Amino acid sequence: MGARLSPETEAALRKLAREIGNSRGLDDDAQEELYGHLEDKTLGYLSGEDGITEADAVLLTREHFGDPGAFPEALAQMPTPFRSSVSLPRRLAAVAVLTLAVGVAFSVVRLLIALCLDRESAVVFFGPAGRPWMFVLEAISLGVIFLRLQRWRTLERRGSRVWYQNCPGSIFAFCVVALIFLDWCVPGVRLDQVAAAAGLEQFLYSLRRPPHPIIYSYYFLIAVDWAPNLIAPMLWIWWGEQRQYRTKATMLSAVAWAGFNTTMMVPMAVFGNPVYLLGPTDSRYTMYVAMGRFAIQSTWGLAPERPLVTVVAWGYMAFVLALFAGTAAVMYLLPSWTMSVLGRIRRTEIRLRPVAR
Amino acid sequence: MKLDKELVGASTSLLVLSTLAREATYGYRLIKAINKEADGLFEWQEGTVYPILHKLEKEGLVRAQWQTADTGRRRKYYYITAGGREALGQGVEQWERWHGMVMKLGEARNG
Repeated sequence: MGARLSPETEAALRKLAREIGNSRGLDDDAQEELYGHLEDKTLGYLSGEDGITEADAVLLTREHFGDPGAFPEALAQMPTPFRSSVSLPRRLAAVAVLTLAVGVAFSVVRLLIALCLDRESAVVFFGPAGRPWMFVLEAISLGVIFLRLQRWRTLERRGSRVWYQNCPGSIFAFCVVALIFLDWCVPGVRLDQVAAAAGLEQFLYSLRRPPHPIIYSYYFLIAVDWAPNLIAPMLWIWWGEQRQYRTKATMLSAVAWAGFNTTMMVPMAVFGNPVYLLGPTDSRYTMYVAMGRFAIQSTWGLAPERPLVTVVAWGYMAFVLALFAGTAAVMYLLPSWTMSVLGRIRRTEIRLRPVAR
Repeated sequence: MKLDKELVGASTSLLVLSTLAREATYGYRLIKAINKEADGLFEWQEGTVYPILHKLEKEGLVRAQWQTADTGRRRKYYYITAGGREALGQGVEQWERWHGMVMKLGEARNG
Protein backbone atom coordinates (compact mmCIF):
# COMPACT_ATOMS: atom_id res chain seq x y z
CA MET A 1 0.00 0.00 0.00
CA GLY A 2 1.25 3.49 -0.80
CA ALA A 3 1.66 6.49 1.44
CA ARG A 4 -1.52 8.00 2.79
CA LEU A 5 -2.49 11.63 2.83
CA SER A 6 -4.09 13.18 5.83
CA PRO A 7 -7.88 13.67 5.76
CA GLU A 8 -7.33 17.45 5.61
CA THR A 9 -5.14 17.12 2.51
CA GLU A 10 -7.58 14.72 0.88
CA ALA A 11 -10.39 17.18 1.59
CA ALA A 12 -8.34 20.03 0.11
CA LEU A 13 -7.66 18.00 -3.03
CA ARG A 14 -11.31 16.98 -3.31
CA LYS A 15 -12.24 20.63 -3.08
CA LEU A 16 -9.68 21.54 -5.73
CA ALA A 17 -10.93 18.77 -8.04
CA ARG A 18 -14.50 19.96 -7.50
CA GLU A 19 -13.56 23.59 -8.18
CA ILE A 20 -11.78 22.71 -11.41
CA GLY A 21 -14.42 20.20 -12.41
CA ASN A 22 -17.38 22.50 -11.79
CA SER A 23 -15.72 25.40 -13.58
CA ARG A 24 -15.17 23.15 -16.59
CA GLY A 25 -18.44 21.24 -16.47
CA LEU A 26 -16.76 17.87 -15.86
CA ASP A 27 -18.96 14.95 -14.91
CA ASP A 28 -18.44 12.81 -11.79
CA ASP A 29 -16.29 10.28 -13.63
CA ALA A 30 -13.92 12.92 -14.97
CA GLN A 31 -13.79 14.68 -11.58
CA GLU A 32 -12.87 11.40 -9.92
CA GLU A 33 -10.11 10.86 -12.49
CA LEU A 34 -8.91 14.41 -11.89
CA TYR A 35 -8.90 13.85 -8.12
CA GLY A 36 -6.84 10.69 -8.56
CA HIS A 37 -4.34 12.58 -10.65
CA LEU A 38 -4.12 15.43 -8.10
CA GLU A 39 -3.58 12.89 -5.35
CA ASP A 40 -0.77 11.18 -7.25
CA LYS A 41 0.77 14.52 -8.11
CA THR A 42 0.73 15.60 -4.46
CA LEU A 43 2.22 12.28 -3.35
CA GLY A 44 4.84 12.75 -6.05
CA TYR A 45 5.84 16.09 -4.56
CA LEU A 46 5.89 14.58 -1.09
CA SER A 47 8.13 11.73 -2.13
CA GLY A 48 10.70 14.13 -3.63
CA GLU A 49 14.15 14.40 -2.16
CA ASP A 50 13.44 17.88 -0.79
CA GLY A 51 10.87 16.91 1.74
CA ILE A 52 7.92 19.26 1.87
CA THR A 53 4.82 19.39 4.02
CA GLU A 54 1.44 18.18 2.80
CA ALA A 55 0.12 21.73 2.84
CA ASP A 56 3.01 22.85 0.62
CA ALA A 57 2.37 19.89 -1.69
CA VAL A 58 -1.27 20.91 -2.04
CA LEU A 59 -0.16 24.45 -2.80
CA LEU A 60 2.25 23.16 -5.46
CA THR A 61 -0.47 20.98 -6.94
CA ARG A 62 -2.90 23.88 -6.93
CA GLU A 63 -0.22 26.04 -8.55
CA HIS A 64 0.44 23.36 -11.15
CA PHE A 65 -3.22 23.17 -12.07
CA GLY A 66 -3.77 26.88 -11.68
CA ASP A 67 -3.54 27.30 -15.43
CA PRO A 68 -7.12 26.86 -16.53
CA GLY A 69 -5.99 26.00 -20.02
CA ALA A 70 -4.09 22.86 -19.14
CA PHE A 71 -5.46 19.74 -17.52
CA PRO A 72 -9.07 20.79 -16.92
CA GLU A 73 -9.35 21.75 -20.58
CA ALA A 74 -8.06 18.35 -21.51
CA LEU A 75 -10.52 16.55 -19.30
CA ALA A 76 -13.33 18.68 -20.66
CA GLN A 77 -12.79 16.89 -23.97
CA MET A 78 -14.24 13.73 -22.49
CA PRO A 79 -16.20 11.86 -25.16
CA THR A 80 -19.07 11.27 -22.77
CA PRO A 81 -19.46 14.28 -20.49
CA PHE A 82 -22.36 12.66 -18.70
CA ARG A 83 -22.79 9.15 -17.37
CA SER A 84 -25.97 8.26 -15.63
CA SER A 85 -25.90 6.21 -12.47
CA VAL A 86 -29.27 4.74 -13.44
CA SER A 87 -29.26 1.39 -15.25
CA LEU A 88 -29.93 1.25 -18.98
CA PRO A 89 -33.22 -0.76 -18.74
CA ARG A 90 -34.56 1.73 -16.21
CA ARG A 91 -33.60 4.68 -18.40
CA LEU A 92 -35.19 3.08 -21.45
CA ALA A 93 -38.36 2.35 -19.46
CA ALA A 94 -38.47 6.01 -18.40
CA VAL A 95 -38.08 7.26 -21.96
CA ALA A 96 -40.74 4.77 -23.12
CA VAL A 97 -43.23 6.17 -20.62
CA LEU A 98 -42.32 9.73 -21.63
CA THR A 99 -42.61 9.00 -25.36
CA LEU A 100 -45.98 7.32 -24.93
CA ALA A 101 -47.27 10.14 -22.72
CA VAL A 102 -46.23 12.77 -25.25
CA GLY A 103 -47.75 10.59 -28.00
CA VAL A 104 -51.11 10.54 -26.23
CA ALA A 105 -50.96 14.29 -25.73
CA PHE A 106 -50.09 14.68 -29.40
CA SER A 107 -53.10 12.56 -30.41
CA VAL A 108 -55.36 14.69 -28.24
CA VAL A 109 -54.04 17.86 -29.88
CA ARG A 110 -54.68 16.40 -33.34
CA LEU A 111 -58.18 15.42 -32.31
CA LEU A 112 -58.89 18.89 -30.94
CA ILE A 113 -57.66 20.44 -34.19
CA ALA A 114 -59.89 18.06 -36.15
CA LEU A 115 -62.91 18.95 -34.02
CA CYS A 116 -62.29 22.65 -34.47
CA LEU A 117 -62.09 22.43 -38.26
CA ASP A 118 -64.93 21.96 -40.67
CA ARG A 119 -64.77 18.87 -42.88
CA GLU A 120 -63.16 20.56 -45.89
CA SER A 121 -60.49 22.30 -43.83
CA ALA A 122 -59.78 19.11 -41.93
CA VAL A 123 -59.28 17.25 -45.17
CA VAL A 124 -56.71 19.83 -46.25
CA PHE A 125 -55.02 19.88 -42.85
CA PHE A 126 -54.78 16.13 -42.41
CA GLY A 127 -54.40 15.23 -46.05
CA PRO A 128 -51.15 15.14 -48.01
CA ALA A 129 -51.10 18.93 -48.28
CA GLY A 130 -51.14 19.14 -44.51
CA ARG A 131 -48.18 16.82 -43.95
CA PRO A 132 -45.72 19.64 -43.30
CA TRP A 133 -48.04 20.87 -40.54
CA MET A 134 -48.17 17.40 -39.05
CA PHE A 135 -44.40 17.32 -39.23
CA VAL A 136 -44.27 20.57 -37.27
CA LEU A 137 -46.54 19.08 -34.60
CA GLU A 138 -44.42 15.92 -34.42
CA ALA A 139 -41.24 18.00 -34.24
CA ILE A 140 -42.75 19.90 -31.33
CA SER A 141 -43.57 16.64 -29.55
CA LEU A 142 -39.98 15.43 -30.10
CA GLY A 143 -38.71 18.76 -28.81
CA VAL A 144 -40.82 18.31 -25.68
CA ILE A 145 -39.35 14.83 -25.16
CA PHE A 146 -35.82 16.13 -25.67
CA LEU A 147 -36.26 19.04 -23.24
CA ARG A 148 -37.74 16.72 -20.61
CA LEU A 149 -34.81 14.30 -20.98
CA GLN A 150 -32.36 17.21 -20.71
CA ARG A 151 -34.10 18.29 -17.52
CA TRP A 152 -33.84 14.79 -16.04
CA ARG A 153 -30.14 14.73 -16.90
CA THR A 154 -29.62 18.04 -15.17
CA LEU A 155 -31.40 16.77 -12.07
CA GLU A 156 -29.30 13.59 -12.08
CA ARG A 157 -26.10 15.61 -12.49
CA ARG A 158 -27.03 17.75 -9.50
CA GLY A 159 -27.68 14.64 -7.46
CA SER A 160 -31.41 15.34 -7.16
CA ARG A 161 -33.85 12.45 -7.11
CA VAL A 162 -35.60 11.68 -10.35
CA TRP A 163 -38.81 9.60 -10.36
CA TYR A 164 -37.45 6.72 -12.43
CA GLN A 165 -34.45 6.07 -10.16
CA ASN A 166 -36.45 4.07 -7.63
CA CYS A 167 -39.66 3.45 -9.52
CA PRO A 168 -40.71 -0.24 -9.23
CA GLY A 169 -40.79 -2.28 -12.43
CA SER A 170 -44.50 -2.98 -11.96
CA ILE A 171 -45.26 0.75 -12.06
CA PHE A 172 -43.26 1.10 -15.27
CA ALA A 173 -45.17 -1.80 -16.81
CA PHE A 174 -48.51 -0.37 -15.68
CA CYS A 175 -47.68 3.07 -17.09
CA VAL A 176 -46.66 1.61 -20.45
CA VAL A 177 -49.78 -0.57 -20.75
CA ALA A 178 -52.08 2.22 -19.54
CA LEU A 179 -50.61 4.75 -21.95
CA ILE A 180 -50.81 2.35 -24.89
CA PHE A 181 -54.47 1.70 -24.02
CA LEU A 182 -55.12 5.43 -23.65
CA ASP A 183 -53.49 6.14 -26.98
CA TRP A 184 -55.63 3.45 -28.54
CA CYS A 185 -58.76 4.99 -27.03
CA VAL A 186 -58.04 8.52 -28.19
CA PRO A 187 -59.68 8.84 -31.60
CA GLY A 188 -56.62 9.85 -33.53
CA VAL A 189 -56.86 11.19 -37.04
CA ARG A 190 -54.92 9.36 -39.69
CA LEU A 191 -53.73 11.26 -42.72
CA ASP A 192 -54.83 8.79 -45.38
CA GLN A 193 -58.28 8.29 -43.93
CA VAL A 194 -59.16 11.93 -44.24
CA ALA A 195 -57.45 12.18 -47.60
CA ALA A 196 -59.63 9.33 -48.78
CA ALA A 197 -62.70 11.19 -47.58
CA ALA A 198 -61.76 14.00 -49.92
CA GLY A 199 -61.73 11.65 -52.89
CA LEU A 200 -57.97 11.28 -52.95
CA GLU A 201 -58.08 7.51 -53.37
CA GLN A 202 -57.03 7.77 -56.96
CA PHE A 203 -54.16 10.01 -55.98
CA LEU A 204 -52.87 7.59 -53.39
CA TYR A 205 -53.59 4.62 -55.57
CA SER A 206 -51.47 6.14 -58.32
CA LEU A 207 -48.43 5.35 -56.19
CA ARG A 208 -48.47 1.98 -57.93
CA ARG A 209 -49.42 3.32 -61.35
CA PRO A 210 -47.36 5.23 -63.95
CA PRO A 211 -46.44 8.24 -61.86
CA HIS A 212 -48.35 11.45 -62.19
CA PRO A 213 -46.07 14.53 -61.88
CA ILE A 214 -47.71 15.40 -58.56
CA ILE A 215 -46.38 12.14 -57.14
CA TYR A 216 -42.88 13.64 -56.80
CA SER A 217 -44.10 16.31 -54.41
CA TYR A 218 -45.91 13.54 -52.54
CA TYR A 219 -42.62 11.64 -52.18
CA PHE A 220 -41.13 14.79 -50.69
CA LEU A 221 -43.98 15.04 -48.22
CA ILE A 222 -43.48 11.41 -47.24
CA ALA A 223 -39.78 12.12 -46.68
CA VAL A 224 -40.68 15.06 -44.45
CA ASP A 225 -43.11 12.87 -42.59
CA TRP A 226 -40.38 10.29 -41.98
CA ALA A 227 -37.96 12.71 -40.38
CA PRO A 228 -39.49 12.42 -36.88
CA ASN A 229 -39.32 8.64 -37.24
CA LEU A 230 -35.57 8.97 -37.69
CA ILE A 231 -35.10 11.48 -34.90
CA ALA A 232 -37.11 9.53 -32.33
CA PRO A 233 -34.78 6.49 -32.16
CA MET A 234 -31.78 8.83 -32.10
CA LEU A 235 -33.27 10.46 -29.00
CA TRP A 236 -33.69 7.06 -27.41
CA ILE A 237 -30.10 6.09 -28.12
CA TRP A 238 -28.81 9.42 -26.91
CA TRP A 239 -30.71 8.86 -23.68
CA GLY A 240 -29.61 5.26 -23.22
CA GLU A 241 -26.09 6.09 -24.36
CA GLN A 242 -23.50 3.37 -24.89
CA ARG A 243 -20.62 5.62 -23.95
CA GLN A 244 -17.92 5.72 -26.64
CA TYR A 245 -20.15 3.94 -29.15
CA ARG A 246 -22.91 6.53 -29.03
CA THR A 247 -22.18 8.34 -32.31
CA LYS A 248 -21.71 5.17 -34.31
CA ALA A 249 -24.71 3.51 -32.70
CA THR A 250 -26.88 6.54 -33.45
CA MET A 251 -25.92 6.64 -37.10
CA LEU A 252 -26.31 2.89 -37.52
CA SER A 253 -29.69 2.91 -35.84
CA ALA A 254 -30.88 5.76 -38.03
CA VAL A 255 -29.86 3.82 -41.11
CA ALA A 256 -31.38 0.63 -39.71
CA TRP A 257 -34.62 2.43 -38.93
CA ALA A 258 -34.84 3.82 -42.45
CA GLY A 259 -33.94 0.41 -43.88
CA PHE A 260 -36.53 -1.29 -41.71
CA ASN A 261 -39.30 1.06 -42.81
CA THR A 262 -38.31 0.77 -46.43
CA THR A 263 -38.09 -3.01 -46.52
CA MET A 264 -41.31 -3.35 -44.58
CA MET A 265 -43.05 -1.24 -47.19
CA VAL A 266 -41.91 -3.41 -50.10
CA PRO A 267 -44.73 -6.01 -49.92
CA MET A 268 -47.28 -3.27 -49.38
CA ALA A 269 -46.04 -1.35 -52.39
CA VAL A 270 -45.85 -4.45 -54.59
CA PHE A 271 -48.90 -6.39 -53.45
CA GLY A 272 -50.82 -3.66 -51.62
CA ASN A 273 -54.47 -3.23 -52.39
CA PRO A 274 -55.63 0.03 -50.84
CA VAL A 275 -59.28 -0.17 -49.91
CA TYR A 276 -61.29 2.63 -48.39
CA LEU A 277 -64.19 1.49 -46.32
CA LEU A 278 -67.05 3.45 -44.89
CA GLY A 279 -68.10 2.74 -41.37
CA PRO A 280 -66.52 1.19 -38.30
CA THR A 281 -64.43 -1.94 -38.38
CA ASP A 282 -63.09 -1.97 -34.84
CA SER A 283 -63.50 -0.12 -31.60
CA ARG A 284 -61.00 2.56 -32.57
CA TYR A 285 -63.07 3.51 -35.58
CA THR A 286 -66.27 3.14 -33.63
CA MET A 287 -64.94 6.13 -31.72
CA TYR A 288 -64.74 8.02 -34.99
CA VAL A 289 -68.35 7.27 -35.72
CA ALA A 290 -69.30 8.31 -32.23
CA MET A 291 -67.49 11.59 -32.81
CA GLY A 292 -69.52 12.06 -35.95
CA ARG A 293 -66.51 12.79 -38.12
CA PHE A 294 -64.05 10.97 -40.35
CA ALA A 295 -65.98 7.74 -40.41
CA ILE A 296 -63.78 6.41 -43.13
CA GLN A 297 -61.02 3.90 -42.84
CA SER A 298 -58.35 3.14 -45.38
CA THR A 299 -56.86 -0.33 -45.36
CA TRP A 300 -53.68 -1.37 -47.09
CA GLY A 301 -54.84 -4.94 -47.53
CA LEU A 302 -52.67 -7.50 -49.27
CA ALA A 303 -54.04 -9.04 -52.44
CA PRO A 304 -56.87 -11.18 -51.02
CA GLU A 305 -57.37 -13.04 -54.26
CA ARG A 306 -53.88 -14.53 -53.99
CA PRO A 307 -53.49 -16.05 -50.49
CA LEU A 308 -49.98 -17.34 -51.23
CA VAL A 309 -48.85 -13.78 -51.91
CA THR A 310 -50.30 -12.72 -48.59
CA VAL A 311 -48.51 -15.52 -46.73
CA VAL A 312 -45.19 -14.82 -48.45
CA ALA A 313 -45.50 -11.08 -47.89
CA TRP A 314 -46.31 -11.41 -44.20
CA GLY A 315 -43.54 -14.00 -43.82
CA TYR A 316 -41.14 -11.57 -45.45
CA MET A 317 -42.18 -8.79 -43.08
CA ALA A 318 -41.83 -11.08 -40.07
CA PHE A 319 -38.33 -11.99 -41.26
CA VAL A 320 -37.36 -8.33 -41.72
CA LEU A 321 -38.73 -7.49 -38.29
CA ALA A 322 -36.77 -10.35 -36.68
CA LEU A 323 -33.63 -9.36 -38.58
CA PHE A 324 -33.72 -5.76 -37.43
CA ALA A 325 -34.80 -6.63 -33.90
CA GLY A 326 -31.94 -9.16 -33.70
CA THR A 327 -29.44 -6.63 -35.04
CA ALA A 328 -30.61 -4.02 -32.57
CA ALA A 329 -30.38 -6.52 -29.71
CA VAL A 330 -26.81 -7.45 -30.65
CA MET A 331 -25.86 -3.78 -30.92
CA TYR A 332 -27.21 -3.01 -27.47
CA LEU A 333 -26.11 -6.16 -25.69
CA LEU A 334 -22.72 -6.60 -27.35
CA PRO A 335 -21.61 -3.08 -28.31
CA SER A 336 -17.88 -3.86 -28.05
CA TRP A 337 -18.17 -6.85 -30.34
CA THR A 338 -20.33 -4.96 -32.86
CA MET A 339 -17.97 -2.04 -33.01
CA SER A 340 -14.89 -4.25 -33.27
CA VAL A 341 -16.49 -6.03 -36.25
CA LEU A 342 -17.32 -2.70 -37.86
CA GLY A 343 -13.81 -1.47 -37.08
CA ARG A 344 -12.33 -4.51 -38.78
CA ILE A 345 -14.42 -3.88 -41.87
CA ARG A 346 -13.27 -0.27 -41.99
CA ARG A 347 -9.62 -1.18 -41.54
CA THR A 348 -9.85 -3.94 -44.12
CA GLU A 349 -11.07 -1.42 -46.65
CA ILE A 350 -8.14 0.82 -45.84
CA ARG A 351 -5.69 -2.05 -46.21
CA LEU A 352 -7.06 -2.89 -49.63
CA ARG A 353 -5.68 0.36 -50.99
CA PRO A 354 -2.38 -0.17 -52.82
CA VAL A 355 0.63 1.06 -50.90
CA ALA A 356 3.11 3.07 -52.93
CA ARG A 357 6.61 1.72 -52.47
CA MET B 1 18.38 17.47 -27.27
CA LYS B 2 14.64 18.16 -27.29
CA LEU B 3 12.63 16.75 -30.17
CA ASP B 4 10.59 18.94 -32.45
CA LYS B 5 7.06 19.29 -31.07
CA GLU B 6 5.41 18.43 -34.38
CA LEU B 7 7.40 15.22 -34.64
CA VAL B 8 6.33 14.16 -31.15
CA GLY B 9 2.77 15.29 -31.81
CA ALA B 10 2.48 13.03 -34.84
CA SER B 11 3.26 9.94 -32.80
CA THR B 12 1.42 10.61 -29.54
CA SER B 13 -1.33 8.01 -30.06
CA LEU B 14 1.27 5.44 -31.04
CA LEU B 15 3.34 6.12 -27.93
CA VAL B 16 0.29 5.81 -25.68
CA LEU B 17 -0.84 2.58 -27.37
CA SER B 18 2.69 1.14 -27.19
CA THR B 19 2.91 1.86 -23.48
CA LEU B 20 -0.54 0.40 -22.82
CA ALA B 21 0.35 -2.67 -24.90
CA ARG B 22 3.05 -3.42 -22.35
CA GLU B 23 0.84 -2.90 -19.34
CA ALA B 24 -2.56 -1.43 -18.54
CA THR B 25 -2.17 1.66 -16.43
CA TYR B 26 -3.78 4.96 -15.41
CA GLY B 27 -3.11 8.52 -16.57
CA TYR B 28 -0.56 9.61 -14.01
CA ARG B 29 1.54 6.46 -14.34
CA LEU B 30 1.32 6.59 -18.11
CA ILE B 31 2.76 10.11 -18.16
CA LYS B 32 5.56 9.02 -15.83
CA ALA B 33 6.32 5.94 -17.92
CA ILE B 34 6.44 7.80 -21.21
CA ASN B 35 8.51 10.66 -19.81
CA LYS B 36 10.92 8.12 -18.35
CA GLU B 37 11.26 6.36 -21.71
CA ALA B 38 11.70 9.73 -23.44
CA ASP B 39 14.75 10.34 -21.26
CA GLY B 40 14.68 14.09 -21.79
CA LEU B 41 13.81 14.05 -25.51
CA PHE B 42 10.44 15.49 -24.60
CA GLU B 43 8.26 15.84 -21.56
CA TRP B 44 4.54 15.25 -21.63
CA GLN B 45 2.08 17.06 -19.41
CA GLU B 46 -1.44 16.10 -18.37
CA GLY B 47 -2.87 18.31 -21.09
CA THR B 48 -1.23 16.07 -23.68
CA VAL B 49 -2.06 12.62 -22.42
CA TYR B 50 -5.66 12.78 -21.20
CA PRO B 51 -7.18 14.07 -24.46
CA ILE B 52 -5.37 11.28 -26.31
CA LEU B 53 -6.60 8.65 -23.86
CA HIS B 54 -10.16 9.90 -24.18
CA LYS B 55 -9.91 10.07 -27.96
CA LEU B 56 -8.58 6.52 -28.12
CA GLU B 57 -11.36 5.38 -25.80
CA LYS B 58 -13.91 7.04 -28.05
CA GLU B 59 -12.43 5.23 -31.05
CA GLY B 60 -12.58 1.92 -29.20
CA LEU B 61 -8.81 1.45 -29.31
CA VAL B 62 -8.57 1.47 -25.52
CA ARG B 63 -11.12 0.81 -22.82
CA ALA B 64 -11.23 2.33 -19.36
CA GLN B 65 -12.02 0.59 -16.12
CA TRP B 66 -11.97 1.77 -12.52
CA GLN B 67 -9.94 -0.52 -10.28
CA THR B 68 -7.78 -0.45 -7.22
CA ALA B 69 -4.12 0.34 -7.89
CA ASP B 70 -1.29 -1.27 -5.95
CA THR B 71 -1.26 1.89 -3.84
CA GLY B 72 -4.70 0.89 -2.62
CA ARG B 73 -6.37 3.82 -4.37
CA ARG B 74 -9.05 3.66 -7.04
CA ARG B 75 -7.71 4.69 -10.41
CA LYS B 76 -9.08 4.67 -13.92
CA TYR B 77 -7.02 2.09 -15.77
CA TYR B 78 -6.76 2.11 -19.53
CA TYR B 79 -6.48 -1.19 -21.42
CA ILE B 80 -5.55 -1.59 -25.05
CA THR B 81 -8.25 -3.41 -27.05
CA ALA B 82 -7.84 -5.86 -29.94
CA GLY B 83 -8.59 -2.97 -32.28
CA GLY B 84 -5.95 -0.91 -30.50
CA ARG B 85 -3.32 -3.61 -31.00
CA GLU B 86 -4.18 -3.79 -34.67
CA ALA B 87 -3.97 -0.01 -35.03
CA LEU B 88 -0.66 -0.07 -33.16
CA GLY B 89 0.73 -2.69 -35.54
CA GLN B 90 -0.30 -0.64 -38.54
CA GLY B 91 1.05 2.56 -37.00
CA VAL B 92 4.42 1.00 -36.24
CA GLU B 93 4.61 -0.35 -39.76
CA GLN B 94 3.94 3.12 -41.15
CA TRP B 95 6.59 4.62 -38.89
CA GLU B 96 9.10 2.04 -39.99
CA ARG B 97 8.50 2.90 -43.61
CA TRP B 98 8.66 6.60 -42.86
CA HIS B 99 11.84 6.10 -40.88
CA GLY B 100 13.35 4.05 -43.70
CA MET B 101 12.57 6.75 -46.23
CA VAL B 102 14.02 9.50 -44.04
CA MET B 103 17.17 7.47 -43.44
CA LYS B 104 17.54 6.75 -47.15
CA LEU B 105 17.23 10.43 -47.97
CA GLY B 106 19.66 11.22 -45.21
CA GLU B 107 22.20 8.79 -46.65
CA ALA B 108 21.78 10.33 -50.10
CA ARG B 109 22.49 13.76 -48.63
CA ASN B 110 25.65 12.51 -47.00
CA GLY B 111 26.80 11.08 -50.32
